[in-house]
Amino acid sequence: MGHCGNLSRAILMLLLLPITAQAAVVELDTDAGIIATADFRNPDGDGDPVLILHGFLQTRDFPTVRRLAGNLADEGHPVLRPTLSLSVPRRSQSLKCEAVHTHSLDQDVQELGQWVAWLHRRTGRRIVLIGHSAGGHVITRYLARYPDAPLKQVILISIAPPVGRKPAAGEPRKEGELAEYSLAYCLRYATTRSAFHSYVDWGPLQMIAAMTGAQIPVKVLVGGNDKRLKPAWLERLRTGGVALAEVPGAGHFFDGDHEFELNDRIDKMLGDGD
Amino acid sequence: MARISLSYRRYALWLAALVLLIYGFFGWLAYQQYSEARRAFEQGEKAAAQGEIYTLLANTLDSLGREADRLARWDELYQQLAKPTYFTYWYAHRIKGGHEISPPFDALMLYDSKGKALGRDADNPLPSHLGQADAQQVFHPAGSDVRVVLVRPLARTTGKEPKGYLVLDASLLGNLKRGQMFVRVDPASLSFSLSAPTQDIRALRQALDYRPRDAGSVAVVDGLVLRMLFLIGLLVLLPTLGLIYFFTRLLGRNVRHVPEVVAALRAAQHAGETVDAPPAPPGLRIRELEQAEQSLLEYQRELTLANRTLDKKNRELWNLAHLDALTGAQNRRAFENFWQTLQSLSERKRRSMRLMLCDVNHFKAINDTYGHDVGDGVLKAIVICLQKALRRGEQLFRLGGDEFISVLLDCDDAQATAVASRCAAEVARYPFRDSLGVQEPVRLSIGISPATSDAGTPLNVLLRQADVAMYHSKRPSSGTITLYRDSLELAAGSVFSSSVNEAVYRAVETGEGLHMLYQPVRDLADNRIGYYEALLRIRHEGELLTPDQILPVVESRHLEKELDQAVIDALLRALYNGTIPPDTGLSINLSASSISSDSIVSRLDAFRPFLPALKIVVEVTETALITRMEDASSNLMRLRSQGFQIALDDFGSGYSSLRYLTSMPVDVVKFDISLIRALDQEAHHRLVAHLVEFICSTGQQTVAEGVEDEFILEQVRKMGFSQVQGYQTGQPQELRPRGPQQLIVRPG
Repeated sequence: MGHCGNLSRAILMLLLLPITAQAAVVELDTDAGIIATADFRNPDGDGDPVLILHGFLQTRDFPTVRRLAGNLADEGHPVLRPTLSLSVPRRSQSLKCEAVHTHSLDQDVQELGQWVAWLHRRTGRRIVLIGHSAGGHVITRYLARYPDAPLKQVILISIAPPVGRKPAAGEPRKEGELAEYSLAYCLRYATTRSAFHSYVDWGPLQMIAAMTGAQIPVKVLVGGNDKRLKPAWLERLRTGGVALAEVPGAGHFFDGDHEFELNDRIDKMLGDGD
Repeated sequence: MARISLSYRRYALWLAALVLLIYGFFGWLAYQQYSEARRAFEQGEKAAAQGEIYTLLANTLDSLGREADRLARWDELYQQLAKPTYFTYWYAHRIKGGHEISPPFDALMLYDSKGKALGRDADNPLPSHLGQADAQQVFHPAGSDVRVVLVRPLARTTGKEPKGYLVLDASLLGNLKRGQMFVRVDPASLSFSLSAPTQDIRALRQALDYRPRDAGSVAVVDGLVLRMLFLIGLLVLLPTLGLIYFFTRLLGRNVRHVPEVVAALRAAQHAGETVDAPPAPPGLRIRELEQAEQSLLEYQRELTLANRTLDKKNRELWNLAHLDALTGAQNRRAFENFWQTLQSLSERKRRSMRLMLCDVNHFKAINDTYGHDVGDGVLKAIVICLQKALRRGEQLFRLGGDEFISVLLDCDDAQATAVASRCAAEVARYPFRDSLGVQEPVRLSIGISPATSDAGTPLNVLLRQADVAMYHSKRPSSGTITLYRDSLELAAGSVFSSSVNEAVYRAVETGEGLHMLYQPVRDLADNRIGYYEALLRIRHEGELLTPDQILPVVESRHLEKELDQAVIDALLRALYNGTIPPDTGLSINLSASSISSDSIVSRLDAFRPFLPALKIVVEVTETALITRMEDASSNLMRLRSQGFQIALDDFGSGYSSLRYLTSMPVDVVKFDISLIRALDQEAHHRLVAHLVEFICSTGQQTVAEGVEDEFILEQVRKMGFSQVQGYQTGQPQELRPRGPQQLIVRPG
C-alpha cells in the first residue's frame, strides 16, 4: 500500500485539544504538499473507528456529516471526519463552483487513504468508512484502488455518480489549461481537462463494480424521496447487486425527522457488521 | 368713574378685535417659542449630526476592517498563494468578474510573503509591491473621496509567518453612503478634502465635509409650523367670527326686541293700561331676554295696577284730606286751599263776596244726649240741608265739629241773608224727630261777614267777622242770622281778647278778680227776700266782666267745672263771713258739666252746714238738663234729698221745658226773661198764665225773671208767680259781710 509508506513523512497530527478530550482537530500534510484537516471525536471509543467523508466540494462541517459523526461518537465510536483539501491548504470552507478547481479524484482518494491509514494506526482497528453523496464516489474509487485497505465495512449514503459536461467550445488542448466544465451541480466548473475527467471517468459502472467487488461489506442507504438520485442509477444499484437500503420519505440529506432514522440505520448497519 | 356704554355691535366688534389680538399675541408667542426651540434644535442637531457622521465613519471603517478580516480567511486566497498558477484566471473571474469582494471593496491584490503581487492588472490601483511600512489601514485622497487601503497578512495559524498579504481597496465615500441610515446628515452632502495619505482617523474626520439634513427639514418644519399656525388661526378665527356674527344677529334681533317691548310698555304706561308683549322676532330666542321681557311686562302690569291702586288711594287720600268723611262736605283743609284761591280774586269780586258761617245750636248737648250716631246723623242732615239751600256753585265746608262755612260770591247782604234764611229754613224743615229721634228742635246760628269796603281787608278778617256774627246769633234774644256790624265787634271783643282770656283764667284758677253780685228773689206774697241769686262778675282793668263776656271764653275752653268750683269757693267764703243775710237764702248757677258730674254732690257738701239756716238753691238751665240727663237727674235728686232746692233756670228759652218739669226733681221754675218781656202779647200772656197755674198745681214754685218795671211786676203777680226777680224788685248788688257765722251742725 503505497499510501501507507508515505505516512511516516506526511502525517502530522496536531491535537488542538488534549487527547482525552472528546474532540480534536487533526492536520494532515498530504502527498500534494497541502495541509488537510480533520475532526477527530471520541478517540478512545470502544466502537469501531469510523471515518466519515463529506460530499462534493463540501467540508466536514456539512450538517448531515456533522450530525452523523456526533451520533456515532456518542455511541462510542472513534469518529474521524476529514475535510478534503481540494488543493486548498487547511480548507475550512466549501469550495465555490466558480473557484479554480485543480484537484482531482485521485488526489481525493490519496488524501482519504492517508486518513484511513492514520485512523487505523491511531485506533489499531479496522475502519468503517462512511461516505455521503460524492464522498461515496471517492470511497468506491478508494475501494477499487486499495482492496486491502484496513476496512471493516463501507456504508454509502445517498451515493451518486458524477455527471459532467465538457465545455461547449471544446476542451482545452493543452493539459493544465483551465476551462469551464459542468460537473455535478456546478454548471460552471473551472478545472483542467485531466482533473475533470478524473471524476467523470469513474462512472456508475465502475462504482457498482467496486462496491460489489469489495471484500468487505458495502452497504448503500438512500432516501426514498431523494430527488438528486436518478431512478436509473438506483435501478442500476439494485440490479447490480449492491446492498441497497432505502429510508422512506427521506431526502438527499436526511434532514428533519429522517436524521434519527439515518442514525438508527447506521447504528444497525454498524452492529450488523460485527 | 364713567361707565362705558356701547351697542352690542360695538361689543361684538371689540370682541372680534380682542380675539384677533389674543390669537395674534399667542401666535407670535408660540412662534417665538418655536424659534428658540428651533435654534436649540439646530444646535443639537448639528452636534447630533457630527456624532452621527463620526459614528457612521467609524462603523464604516470597522465594517471594512471586518470584511477584510473575513476575506483574509477565504480559502481561495490560500489556494492562490499555495498554487498561483491560475491566479490570473482566478483574479479575472473571481475578483474582477465575480462578486466576492465588491461590495465593499473595489480592488484586491494578493502578495506573496515577499510583498510581490501575484499578478498584474492595469485597472487595479494597488501597487505591484507591498512596502514594508505599509500599515493595515491607510487613507488616500481621491478627489472628493478617500480610498481606504487595507492590508491583511495571510496566515492560517497564529504566530506563523504569513504566507502572503491581502490588500484591499475601497471607496470610503461609497461605503460610507452605502447601507447606512442617515438621520441627521444629508448623505448627498458628504465629501472629503484630504490632501495627503494618512492613517490618522482624526485627520480623516477633519477632512470630512457634511451638511446636517435638518437644515432642510427645519425649513420644512418652519413652513409646517407657519401653516399650522395659519390653519389654527383659521380654525379659531373663522368659527369665532362666525359665532360672533351669528350671536350678533341672534342677539341683535332679541336685543332690538327689548326696546320695542320697552316702548310698548312706555306707551301703555302713559295710557295707564297693561300691554301684551310685541310678537317675538323669528328664529332662535334667548331665554334670559325673554325672561327679562316677561319680567318687564309683568312689572309693567304690576306697576299699572299699582298706579291704579295708587290713583285710587290718592283719590281716597285727597278725599280724606279734602272731604269730611262723615258728611261728605269739604273739610277744613279744602277750605284752606279754597281760601288760597280766594286770595287771587279781583277786588270787585272780593267786594261782592260774603262768608256764611254757621253751627248747630246746642249740638254738644244733642250729641251727648242721643249719642254720637245721632249727632253724626244730625250733621249729615245739616249738610244735606245746607247744600240744598246754597246756590249753584257755592261750596260748603265743614270746619270742624258742627261748624260749617260757605263762600257766597257775587252776593250782597240781602242775597246773603236770603241764602242764610233758606239754610235755616231747610234745617228747620228737616224731620230730625222722625228720622233721628231728636225731640228738641235743631237750629242753626248763622253769621255773615260784611261786604268789604276796603280792598285791602284780609280775608281772615272776613272770617273772623263771620265768626263774631255767628256767636252773636247764639245769644239769647238774638236772631238765627246775624250780619256782621262793627258794634258786634265790641261785644265779642272780650271773647277774643287775650286780656279777657287771662282775666277769666286767673279768676278760675286762683279766684283773683272773681266778684259775686247778689240779686234778690222776692216772695210776691210778702215782698220778702226769699234768697239771693249769686251772679258772677270778674274784675278786669277797672271794669266788671259780665257773663256774656265770661261764658264764651269758659265754654270755648271747657272751663265750666273749674269756674263752678271757683264760684262755689267764693260763695262758701261769703257764707262763712256772713255775707248772706240770715233768713234768706242763696241760689247757685251750676253748669251742665258740673250738674252731670259725679263729684258735684261732694263738692256741694260744704254747703250742708248752712242748710238749716239758709235756703240753698241749685239753679240749672234746660241746656244743662238735656246733657247727660240721667246723671244730672240722679245728682239733683241726691242734692234735693240733702235739703238743697232745685231751680230750673231760663224756663221757656229751651227745647222741652215741660218735659223736664215732669221728669226732673225741680222745686223752682224760673221763667225766662224772654217769656216775661212778652207778657204784653195776649196770646203769650195766656200761655204763661196757664203754665204758671199748671206749675203751681204741681207744687212747684215759680219765679218770674226780668221783671224790669211795675207793669210786669203787676202782671206776674196776677198770674200767680211765687217769686220775682228783676231790676224792679232788686238789682244785682254787693252784700257786705257781717262777720263769721255760727254754723249749726246737723247731726248725721
